[in-house]
Amino acid sequence: MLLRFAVRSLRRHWRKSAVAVLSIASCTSALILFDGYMVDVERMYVDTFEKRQMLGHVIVERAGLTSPGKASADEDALSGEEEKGLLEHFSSRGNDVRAIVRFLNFSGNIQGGGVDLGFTGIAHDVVQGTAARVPRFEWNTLAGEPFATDADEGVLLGKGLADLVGCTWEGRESTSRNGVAGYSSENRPFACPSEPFMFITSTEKGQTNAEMLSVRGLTATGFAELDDRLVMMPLALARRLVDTDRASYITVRLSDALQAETFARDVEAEGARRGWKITARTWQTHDFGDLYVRTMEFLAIFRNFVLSVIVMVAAMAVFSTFSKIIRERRKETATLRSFGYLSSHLLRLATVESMVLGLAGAAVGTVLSLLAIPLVNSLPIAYKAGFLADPVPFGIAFFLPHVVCVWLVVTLLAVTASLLAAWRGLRLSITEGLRDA
Amino acid sequence: MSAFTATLRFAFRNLRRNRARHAATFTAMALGTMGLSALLAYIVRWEHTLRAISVYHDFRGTVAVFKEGGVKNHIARPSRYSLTEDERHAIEVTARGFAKVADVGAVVRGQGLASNGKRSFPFLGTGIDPALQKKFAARADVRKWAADFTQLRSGTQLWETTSENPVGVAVGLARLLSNAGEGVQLLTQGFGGGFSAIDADVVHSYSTGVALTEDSRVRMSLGAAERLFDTKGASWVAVFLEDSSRGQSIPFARELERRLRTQGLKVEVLAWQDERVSPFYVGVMEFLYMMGFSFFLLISGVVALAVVNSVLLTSFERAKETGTLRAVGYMPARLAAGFTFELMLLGTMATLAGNALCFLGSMGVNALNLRFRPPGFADTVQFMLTPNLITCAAVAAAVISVAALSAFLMALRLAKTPIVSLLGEERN
Repeated sequence: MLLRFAVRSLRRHWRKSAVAVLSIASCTSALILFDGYMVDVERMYVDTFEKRQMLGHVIVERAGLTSPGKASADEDALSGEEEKGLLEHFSSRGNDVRAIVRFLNFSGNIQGGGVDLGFTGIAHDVVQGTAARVPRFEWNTLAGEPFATDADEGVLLGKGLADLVGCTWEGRESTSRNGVAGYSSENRPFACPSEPFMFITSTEKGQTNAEMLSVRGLTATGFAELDDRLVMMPLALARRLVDTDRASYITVRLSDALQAETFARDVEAEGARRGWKITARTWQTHDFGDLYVRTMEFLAIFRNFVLSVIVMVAAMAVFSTFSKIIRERRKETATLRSFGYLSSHLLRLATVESMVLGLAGAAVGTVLSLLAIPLVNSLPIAYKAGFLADPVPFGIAFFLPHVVCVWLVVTLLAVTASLLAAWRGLRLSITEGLRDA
Repeated sequence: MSAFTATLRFAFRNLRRNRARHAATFTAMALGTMGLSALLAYIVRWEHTLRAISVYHDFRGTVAVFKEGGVKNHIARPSRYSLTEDERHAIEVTARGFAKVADVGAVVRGQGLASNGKRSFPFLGTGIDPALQKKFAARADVRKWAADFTQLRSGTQLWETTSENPVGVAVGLARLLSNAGEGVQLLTQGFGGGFSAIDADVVHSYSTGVALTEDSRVRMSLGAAERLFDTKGASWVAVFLEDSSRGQSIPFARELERRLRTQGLKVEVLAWQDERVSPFYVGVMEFLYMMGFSFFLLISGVVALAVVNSVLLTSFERAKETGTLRAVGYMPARLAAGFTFELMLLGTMATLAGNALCFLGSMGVNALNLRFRPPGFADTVQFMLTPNLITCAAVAAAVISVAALSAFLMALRLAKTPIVSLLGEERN
């Protein structure tokens, strides 16, 4: 009955109700759109780290490193024996594990064409690496082609380094844009006039070693600073060059991302049982994930600030509307009270009315957002985002669980504002109400 | 009494008479103004900070003079793309010929391997004049905006040491070498192509401010860099103006390049805002502008709707009043002007209050010295809001315009409604 009563009242004051719905709808849209932007940024970072950089879900490395993720072929890296034991352990998990990628960091100099430059090398398992990049990032070269087998020879050069050693490629702008979303599987032409290049590095025992290697393709990690010195090669080739059987770290992509914490604890327990000094962490808690964590924290600060302003402004608008509705209904309220209605009855009525308005406003705001999101996403807007080398396409996601939260927030806002306004109206005595209206 | 004064007085009287009605609109506009001004205050802070870092901390100068093609190639092909001793000298002399030039300094940059005898790591080394570095560290704008980035992690400044080859090592590289505070051997290929090495004294560890560069940067005195890279030339010459704003730097870069080219020097002169010399500044500011623009749209949209909401409600309530005024001979144009003035006055008061809140809030926040780590930064920085009169005035103008437009449209709507309807209609 309360609901019917409320709907009837709202219909009778439809103009003012419409104004209130408009305020709530604008608040809802603003919150959904900004939250959608945050979700989109989060997905971009997760894809970049988890798939594009093959970090999977869990990173296993030597415990107690001063610079995690940066161990080269020395005692800071996992030994061949530890690596073998870990691989056996991962295999015992059967279908829980989708991909296991071993990495080796190394550095040295690249020479050729009158250039002698330092490089930072990252070697990895080719076949497992491709499995870790699925979907969208299997093709990880903006020009040329990715490695296909673990026995491949040759290198991929970071695009900044490629530029410095004189390589050229076509469609620089169009391909760079694709890096964030993944490159299309197309062998785009490039030329490195000075290849093959000489790659000089130190072996694990400190001897100098060198090989002439061809450039198979050009790649990008997403970070310009790294791309300016990046050389990628298959793990087997790098191990031959550095003369080692060590791995800097091993990443594991799981079938169920939610199991990452449990899996990491299990790996550490296995390590402790076997006497290995290892640590297993999700990439989000590793130094690699620092940029992601900071970015999301930073956006959350902004979101909370903007949310506070928007909610306060919308609350004022809703409060003002309800105040006006309640003020105009003083006579009606006083009449009802003279018939025996209690204040609590009238407050309940105001609650139901405001809930209806809140939900209607939230629905309108959601529909407006659903119309705006595809429109915004279809616009070719891209922006530089701090350290990311490629322009990031501006996008907004629609994430249902968050939308439900927004509905709750705005409905609560409407109810609170209306109760406040109704409570003020009920402070008048019945006689005053009947006389003042 | 002029029509303008009469309309203004009419608007004032109405505002005073309907204080309760306008309270919510006032609050919504004040809050919106405060939010938008605070947002711009945050962006302004980073504009100043990144400018101080780029120009003074990273020694780009207000403008940087490179050999033609040198911006991209000075590290990979220094023999061809670094400035010779004569070119460096000619650039310094020409730059000093401008009255507005405060300082000129050569920079030598190159890469190599840093070794502690056991391990070697690639580094990118920058040689700068310690006297200039000392001068810049004392500047008021550097101390105000970039204090978080200029403090050393350990050790003494390059200008405080008597060492022949003093170097500062970025904290990440210092950790990898595990010997900050001791000697380190730097091996490079000189600008001429021959191998070169020096035994350097690590006099301090410092933060580059950027997480990704913390494990690869070394800075040293210009003399040490000249010895290490075996050059008397420079990678670039940094020219410093007292005012490095866009309005100064870009025209100056054009003029300096023109003068240098007339001397036959094949150089390119880049203002510090150019992405090729300050990619970090451009990346961070584009991100902030994009976010700021999104927020601006969202907050402005909500404020505009709050104002429209209030104006609509007012129009329902004041239909009878409008009808009466029109019945006694008030022209629709005068009524529209009255309504518009009313909202403009309200907007002016609300934006003054909002901006005052923003200034007070910023003072409070800055006094608290709240610290946080922005994405990609190596360390925490102070959360600082620096509102200024220009941004606050721009926000106020935007909010008042929205209010005036809403009021004007409402008045037009009322003007079109027949008087009989206005007087008789019950509007719900």
